[in-house]
Amino acid sequence: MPKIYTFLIILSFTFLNVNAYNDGLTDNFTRGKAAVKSISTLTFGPEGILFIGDSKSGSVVAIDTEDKEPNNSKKPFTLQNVEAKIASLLGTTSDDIIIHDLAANPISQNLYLAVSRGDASSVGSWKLPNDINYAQILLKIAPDGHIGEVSLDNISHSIANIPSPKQEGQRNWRKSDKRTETITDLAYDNGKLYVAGISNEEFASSLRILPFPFSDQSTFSTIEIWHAAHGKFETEAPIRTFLPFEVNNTPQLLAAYTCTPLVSIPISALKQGNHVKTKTLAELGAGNIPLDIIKVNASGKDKILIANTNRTLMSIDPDDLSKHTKGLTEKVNGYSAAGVPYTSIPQVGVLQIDNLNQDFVVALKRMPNGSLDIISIPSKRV
Amino acid sequence: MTGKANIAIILAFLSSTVCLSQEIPRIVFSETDGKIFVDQCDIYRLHLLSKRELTLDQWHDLLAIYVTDKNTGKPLHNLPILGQYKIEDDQIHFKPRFPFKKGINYLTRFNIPYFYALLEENTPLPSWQKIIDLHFRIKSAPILPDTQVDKVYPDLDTLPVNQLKLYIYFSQAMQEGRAYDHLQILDHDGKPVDQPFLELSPELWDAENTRLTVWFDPGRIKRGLSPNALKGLPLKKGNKYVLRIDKDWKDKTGRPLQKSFEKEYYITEADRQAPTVSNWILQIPASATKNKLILEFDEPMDHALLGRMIYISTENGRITGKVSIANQSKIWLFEPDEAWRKTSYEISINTKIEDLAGNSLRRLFDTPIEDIERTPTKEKELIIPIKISTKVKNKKVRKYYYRTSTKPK
Repeated sequence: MPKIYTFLIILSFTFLNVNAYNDGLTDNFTRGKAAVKSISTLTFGPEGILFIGDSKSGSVVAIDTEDKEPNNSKKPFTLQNVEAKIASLLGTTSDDIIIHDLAANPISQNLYLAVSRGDASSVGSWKLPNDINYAQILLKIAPDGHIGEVSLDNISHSIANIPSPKQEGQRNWRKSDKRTETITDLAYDNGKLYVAGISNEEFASSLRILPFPFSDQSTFSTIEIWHAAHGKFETEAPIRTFLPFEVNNTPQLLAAYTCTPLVSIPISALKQGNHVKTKTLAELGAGNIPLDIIKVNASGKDKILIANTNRTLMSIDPDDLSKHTKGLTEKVNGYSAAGVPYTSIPQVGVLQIDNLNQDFVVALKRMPNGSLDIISIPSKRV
Repeated sequence: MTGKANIAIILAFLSSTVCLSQEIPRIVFSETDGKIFVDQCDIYRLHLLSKRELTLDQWHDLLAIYVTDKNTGKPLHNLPILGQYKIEDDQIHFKPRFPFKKGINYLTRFNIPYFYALLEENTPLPSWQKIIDLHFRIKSAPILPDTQVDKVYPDLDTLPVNQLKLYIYFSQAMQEGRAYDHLQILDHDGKPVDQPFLELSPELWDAENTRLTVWFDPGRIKRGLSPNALKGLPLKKGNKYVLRIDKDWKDKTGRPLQKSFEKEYYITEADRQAPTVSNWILQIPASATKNKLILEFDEPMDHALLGRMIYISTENGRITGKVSIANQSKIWLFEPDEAWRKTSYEISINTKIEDLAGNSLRRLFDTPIEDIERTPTKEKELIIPIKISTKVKNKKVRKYYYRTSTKPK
């Protein structure tokens, strides 16, 4: 008997230790209502932790989804007419539904969607869901198509404030409130959360690095680009979407802007208070807003995939990034592209992309019949 | 053993009474509450059920509300509407996550056999115990109006020509985003004034969405700015205007207002002076009473700022009490929670407190640079020291000074 007790005690300590190790990232989390005013953008971190960028509150909230059941499937994820289905769930019709962002949980392959019930007609060619500041519904869609709400009323979470956000009430050229651009995109990489957006500093476009778990050790830099299609240097417009990526063995952020420069920002330059001048790798062509950028492993080789409002899905070969050491410095006329080349992937109307599993990229796509579908694109085809 | 047997007997007894009573559960859609109720359920079983923590899937199997196809009446996508379920007042309640909407067909489905199955009872079900449906639609557009405009500040009849802000208070939470479609200033011919307001997006609502702050376009008010030069002041001196809030403005639940609201203003001289502290009047209450301390300003003040920019403290720190505002925002009253003591107090006033034209003690809204000395102070706080004695005192503010700190002790 005593032997069994000893065994049980050792066993229980082992479990305690395992738990303590797993909970390291969520040690400073508290359970309660996550006060999110508007879900502007989503991205997954490790261990099922989902980051929510909230421009309206000027904060980033890390929530523990507790969605950690590994799913090793290599199957595609498809769901037709997702707007109409969400509309049914929210007691209305699809013209009331806006999907603001999509993130795939890399562990469980469940999809997380930021959604608002309002007026879908307020989103247009130059008006993004990110410009609408009342998304408060977080939905989870399982690969079997089951849709449920992830309530933020009683959830384990941690909040980091974004200092000096723009005051509400000033409009940008797209007639959206500048406050909505406080956070335009998030990316997690190796213990750091990168936050792109604008601040009320002299050079508005900014990048913040928040250590995760959150502490007060964040850094803030302002960003300057050569906007080839406009033929001038710009510091006002925010990064729309970006990706941590190594070029020539140097950690960089690849950042895409409206109308549509692609620049590289060395991470080593992102020090507190720095004003960082970037290298313009490509002009992807004016008249367009880039919506999402991801790294895809396509049959053993990395590719960079970019979704756009007014252009096809684009694929960039990282080898071409290394070749363009100088960067663009001249004006690019009209709707032409220049610099690092891209391949047009035969997909239009792709609004959101994320890596689903080893074989597929999941995408939110406006279909030719008008319905919004979740589709999967084979990684080897990009 | 005997305890179990007793329970079984009670259950058997209750089942038989239920069978005898033959009350059939009924689904009710309450349009005024925007909720679904199921009543006439077996109360004892409902009580048992209320002790159970049902999962959302179990609730959906028991009571599901769907959007349905207009032609077939069948649920669209078979996805039950999200909402809150609870058992209360001998009824099952469902409140949707968002209000039901006009023009959409809904179906409520209550599964009576499942109601019994959940409690794992093997008693035979009476013949009426099946799945019951209620189809419904929101009829009126959408339900009876209930919300109204409670008050508009300034609640005066006259405004300076450089009036800066209006505050509109509603009785219940309002929808955001369409304020300026429902807000007009009409001139004496009843014609709307062209863009008098700064149309902010997002609109300036308080946390409860019951108070909207509206700015007259400051660019048109401030002299020397191009909107002022091009369009002139939004309101003209010596004229009468009507502020009109039309009843189509929707509250948070989608209902229009009870009625339109109108308020007439007569426009007078521009106010380009800071409030004058030495013209303010204090009524200091007697010690050992909880009577109100009254501070009367020399002109009407900004209502919202008045409510939160003044406090009273002793050496031991800030004292608590109720603040009220009277006489068209010209009077600030403070009723302490505990009786006044025979000692010294300080009234601290944030020097950002503004009159109607946005002139504060720290900054005039619209001043030529050479007149900047006319601003009374650059400090953050105005302090009026007072002494409470056994007598009530009524006097002009004579002793006061400014200081930097804004921190309450």
